[in-house]
Amino acid sequence: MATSFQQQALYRKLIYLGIIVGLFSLSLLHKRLVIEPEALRLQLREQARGEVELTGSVVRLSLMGSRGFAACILWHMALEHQKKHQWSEFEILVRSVTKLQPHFVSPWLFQSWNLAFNVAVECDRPRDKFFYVSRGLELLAEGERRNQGTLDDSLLPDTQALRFPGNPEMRYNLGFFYQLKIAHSDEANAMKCLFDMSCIDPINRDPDQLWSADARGKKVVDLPRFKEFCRRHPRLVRRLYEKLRCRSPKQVVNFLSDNKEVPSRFAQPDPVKAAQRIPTDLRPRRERFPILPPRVLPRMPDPDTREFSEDFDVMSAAQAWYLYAMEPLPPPSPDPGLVEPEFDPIRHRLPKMAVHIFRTYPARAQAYMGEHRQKEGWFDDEGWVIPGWFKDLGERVAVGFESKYQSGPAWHKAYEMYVDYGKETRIYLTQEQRQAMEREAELFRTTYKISPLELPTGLKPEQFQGAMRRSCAAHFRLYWNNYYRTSVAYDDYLGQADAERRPEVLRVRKMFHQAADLRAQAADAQVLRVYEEALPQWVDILLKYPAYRRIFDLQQETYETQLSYLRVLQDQKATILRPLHLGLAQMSPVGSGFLPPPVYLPPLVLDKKVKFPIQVKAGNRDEERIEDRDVLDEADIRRIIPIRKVRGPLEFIYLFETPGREQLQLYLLGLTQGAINPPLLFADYLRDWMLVTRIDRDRAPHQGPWQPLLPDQAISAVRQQLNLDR
Amino acid sequence: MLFAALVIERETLKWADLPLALMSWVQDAGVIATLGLLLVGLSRLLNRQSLFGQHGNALHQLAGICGCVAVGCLAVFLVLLQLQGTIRVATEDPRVFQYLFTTHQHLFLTIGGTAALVGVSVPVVVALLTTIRWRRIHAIALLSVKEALRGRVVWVFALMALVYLFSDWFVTYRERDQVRAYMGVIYWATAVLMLVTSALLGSFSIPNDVVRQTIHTVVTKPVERYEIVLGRFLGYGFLLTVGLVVLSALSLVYVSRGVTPAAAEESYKGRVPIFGDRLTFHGTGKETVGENVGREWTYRSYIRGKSPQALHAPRQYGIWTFNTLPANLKTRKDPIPFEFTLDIYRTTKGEEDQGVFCVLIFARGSLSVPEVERQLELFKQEQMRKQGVIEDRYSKPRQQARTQEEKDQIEEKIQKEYQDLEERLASQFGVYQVAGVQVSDYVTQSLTVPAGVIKDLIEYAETAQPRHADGTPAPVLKVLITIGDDIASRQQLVGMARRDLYLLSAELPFWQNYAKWVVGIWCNSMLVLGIAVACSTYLSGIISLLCAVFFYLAGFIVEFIKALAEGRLEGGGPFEAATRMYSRLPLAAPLEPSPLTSLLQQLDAVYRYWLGLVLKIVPEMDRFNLTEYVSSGFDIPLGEVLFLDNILPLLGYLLPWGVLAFYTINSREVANPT
Repeated sequence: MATSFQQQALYRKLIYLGIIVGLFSLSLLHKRLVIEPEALRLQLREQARGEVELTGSVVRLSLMGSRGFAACILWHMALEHQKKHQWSEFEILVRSVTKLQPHFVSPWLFQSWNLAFNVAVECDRPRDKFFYVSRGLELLAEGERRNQGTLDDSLLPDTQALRFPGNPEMRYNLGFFYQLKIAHSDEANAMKCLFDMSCIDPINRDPDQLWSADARGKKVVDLPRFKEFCRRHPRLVRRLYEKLRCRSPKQVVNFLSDNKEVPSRFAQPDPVKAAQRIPTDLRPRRERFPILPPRVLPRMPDPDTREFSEDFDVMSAAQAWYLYAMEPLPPPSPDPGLVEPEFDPIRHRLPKMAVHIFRTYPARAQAYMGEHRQKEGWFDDEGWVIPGWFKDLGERVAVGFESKYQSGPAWHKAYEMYVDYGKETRIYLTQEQRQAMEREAELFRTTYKISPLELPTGLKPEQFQGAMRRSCAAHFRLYWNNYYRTSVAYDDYLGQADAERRPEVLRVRKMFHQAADLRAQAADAQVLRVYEEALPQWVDILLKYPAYRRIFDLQQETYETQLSYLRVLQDQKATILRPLHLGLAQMSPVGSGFLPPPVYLPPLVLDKKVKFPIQVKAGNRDEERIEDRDVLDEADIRRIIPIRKVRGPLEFIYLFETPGREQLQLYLLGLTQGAINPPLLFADYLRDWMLVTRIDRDRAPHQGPWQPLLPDQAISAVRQQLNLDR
Repeated sequence: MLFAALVIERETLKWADLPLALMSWVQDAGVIATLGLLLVGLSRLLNRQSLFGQHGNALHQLAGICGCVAVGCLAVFLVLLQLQGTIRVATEDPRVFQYLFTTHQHLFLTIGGTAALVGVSVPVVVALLTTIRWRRIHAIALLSVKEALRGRVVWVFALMALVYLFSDWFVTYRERDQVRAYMGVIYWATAVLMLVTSALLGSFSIPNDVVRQTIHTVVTKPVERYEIVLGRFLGYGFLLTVGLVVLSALSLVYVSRGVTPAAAEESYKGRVPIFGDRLTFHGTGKETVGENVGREWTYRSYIRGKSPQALHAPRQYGIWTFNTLPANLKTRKDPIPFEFTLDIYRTTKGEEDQGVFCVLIFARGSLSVPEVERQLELFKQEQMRKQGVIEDRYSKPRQQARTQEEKDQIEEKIQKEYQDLEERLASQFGVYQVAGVQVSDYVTQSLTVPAGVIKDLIEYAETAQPRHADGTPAPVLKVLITIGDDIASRQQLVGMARRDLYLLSAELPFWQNYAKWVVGIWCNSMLVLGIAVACSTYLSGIISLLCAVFFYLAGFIVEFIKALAEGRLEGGGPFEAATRMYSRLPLAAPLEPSPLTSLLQQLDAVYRYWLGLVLKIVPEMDRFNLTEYVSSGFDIPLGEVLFLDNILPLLGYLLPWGVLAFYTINSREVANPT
């Protein structure tokens, strides 16, 4: 029998126990019913920030308060390893640092940039560069996943709940790394080949499958299989042939062999399955390279697609990331310059760069796709005829006819994307819309004496009523429209995409590409013919598309093309030009300018031998002896450009540039051609050639509203770049 | 990381350097011993005792005499230092000068050091020979092992299982880096585990005995106190050794599982290289260094291609000099492999997916660069002439050959004759050239030289015994590298260090190399255990642990301390650095000359002097890390690296600590623990 003290103690303990159990149960209920829904609503849980990584969390918690200290030490050690080119150790440390502070965006950006740029540039072979670019991208993609926000809707209590936005900067940088380090790098051709190989199932690019033995047991390329490979991957094969000097099937297969272990979307092939040609499994999504964002828009590539077709290239990957980067942005302003865009700091994130520039990247990536296809020679449905490799099979093999290889559709899509961008951001105005707004703004401008390019201070549409209010708003809209269009070079890009998608442009571009190819093959006679056929058509195009011809890069490109043409012309017509101009030069009083300067200068006549001192041993002492040695070998001499200062035909073309030029052209066309029977006034080219003249720019450089087709700035930029003004 | 290029920034000790190293050790340890004897002497004088100890105690008298000699020599040394100064020698770093003692200074410092060491170590040696019994030490060692086992210390090693299980989650690598990445993980995991265990075991054993008074049960037995110290050290040492062996065996399985072919090719082996004795440069303006491309890490020097704009400038060469080559190379029939890994620094893009084309020349060691160039000219002329003869000889059979097989046979014969011709000419002119070698950086590349060429070079060195103008024997072989003249290559620079090119003598299995690597870790943990046990003879457990950790960590930044002590660091010493921080001056900006600046720099000089002394007792822990050898696939040389650079420094470092422990344990008041 327990004493009363013992009974009291027992009761007391039972009461305590009851209270503990009660409070504990209450706290559990409170957590489940109040705290968790609230945390979900406010997006306070770590899952809301992005993917959660258990090991990183364990390390962070085990470090207690010394996480910052550990991160600093690791950072310092990583940079020391980088200094000593110890990349393996460097990468391990970099990954450790980022694990310690996964929601601090800057280290992800800095160290991934470090890997993809600074480390990659220290490597010499493209395959090594490619590896570290891929590592940088993987690191940044990992960081993006940690900070991608709430992608899984099942975590949210309702559709109206807060949604933690992703980080546009990281997503954009992923795309930008692809663009800079693969698509536009110094070794872009090799890098793009490696990128293509990353996307091909290893059993489909297995070099061992492409070898066979000939009658004497010698290892040779299995041509039927190789032909199939060429059919499946024409862009890769053509790039290897034309850009990387793989002039035989053997060299192509050797390239595949050398780069067999390229970072890939596919797992290491199982030899047994590979022998039976069973497709290789994809790696887990996070380990695939090229790494792609989740498919949040239908126009983005599906990362789970087994094998992409060749219309998926590096710019497609970049574009996917650019599109994904648009997700956390606020919607654009419905009336730019007049209405502030909606911005909710909880739902939206802004990039560091100006948002209106940021939004152009997907369209820009699309334009690059078209540009790259053109540079690689893919224009139309004629494909590429593989030169000479399959003559043993008695076949003429051509590949790449499908529209996915053509640049026209890519440019067309780019045009559509630019139009969509313009419409979405309200900077796209049709000619009619613009004219209507100009008319409407006229009242405000004349009343307050404000020029179209001026933003009035102290005046706002809200201050006015009726017609003046509408006029003031129209002026503001036009001003901001002009500002945004100029800052993203909208007219240039739209004009370029619009022109490049046209069949006539593609036709001439193809001719230029053929000419370059023929020049590389030293088939100069044909080159001249192609240039002479293409250049007039090119001028027609430039006259027809005003926005196109005003693009500075295009003007430079046109001038470079003209230089190439002149070079070929001089080489081809040397037998006529040389005596003619030598004679002219002899007849011409030196420096008088009486006769035109010689268009052709022969290759420099160099005294190829120079006196060269060398050290020789004479007995026990060194002696200096002078020897004649070659300054330049034959290849060097061939490289010396004979053109120094010579004008080409395109430089003489001047246009009468004035507002309302098109109307004036139509008027003049009607005036001059209307009387002809049958009338020719509906021929487009006739209208385009109106208000065009020929002026010798060296004698009369300034001609008022007459502007040269090729401005001086473009010419001098090219000449400086090619070092022609020495 | 550059593979199959051994990057060792610190030159290891060589057998030829051993006497100097021993002298240096005697001087350093001797100065510390002299300070100890001086302190004992002073305390005796202050306590009005005889300087030579108790009358009739020969050991005390010997210590007294040695102490007097040591102090005297040290005093003479200081006087000489004051009178003669030191010899200032310029180094490659223009900011740094080496200060060397004169012969007389060395002499007195060595005599004094030896006397001091004799003075302090003779009592220890006598005790070891007379009173100390290895049987008792064995018993205490056994007891230590049992205590550690009962304390479940061995379970600490089970932590390694975490590394085996989960390290792959964190460690990413490319295929050829696999062994390197694994070795890195294993080294750090094993080293940390071993060091923590050894520091904890060593630091707390004796203090715990004292605190728990269990030591009374031992010291009341006929046991010498120093036997306890040795017993503890050897017992724990044994336990740690067994633990290390087990861990290493398991780790070897971890490293070796599924080694990829690329990794196996790169580093899953133990290359036995023969490195050149020195690397010099020709045409770069300075013989010892090449061009500087502005990299922060100046381990490699660069050569540039022959520029058409600078025709009068000499062609640049990197030259590896091999003073000797093993005689067994003469008997080799197969081609001799040379491997190299060079760094490329590009000034232009060059040709896409193409390396830099270089020319390698293997020449007699006695030839200078102009002579090599001239011999090569003659070689080529003769080669062209004789190749013409061969071509003429085979022109008719070529025409007569009907089948492809016959044509191939003829071509093979011609190629064979070309090769023979090349070897003959190499022997005649003493040079052999391999042109058009495409160099790619971060890649181990290999080329072979006909065995006959190397044989001729060795035989020429043996028979002709060529000598330099100063009478020193000329080296056997010079390997010269220069950049090719093609337009893309000649615009680039190629970087190299002494160990970047080597003659591959043999290849040993990976496990042998790995076993030697384990010895490095063992030395590491024995060193920490030794410091911890020695400290624990006088200090409490936690303080001993802190001491061991301090020495261990200081050992890792010894290079930084050395740079600070030698005044090589940007920004100066602590006083100057504090001034810069206060006045927000950047590191490169010079301080304004003023009395205050001068004072601060003097204070820094004093600080650096004391730091230089402290540096003597900080161990260089980095030397025990042999991971670089194993992960790069290079054999760890048993003699020069394992013995001279690991085991000998370990003994040299632990011996003074052992002597110190002898005196501290004997002077400790065991009955009154604090």
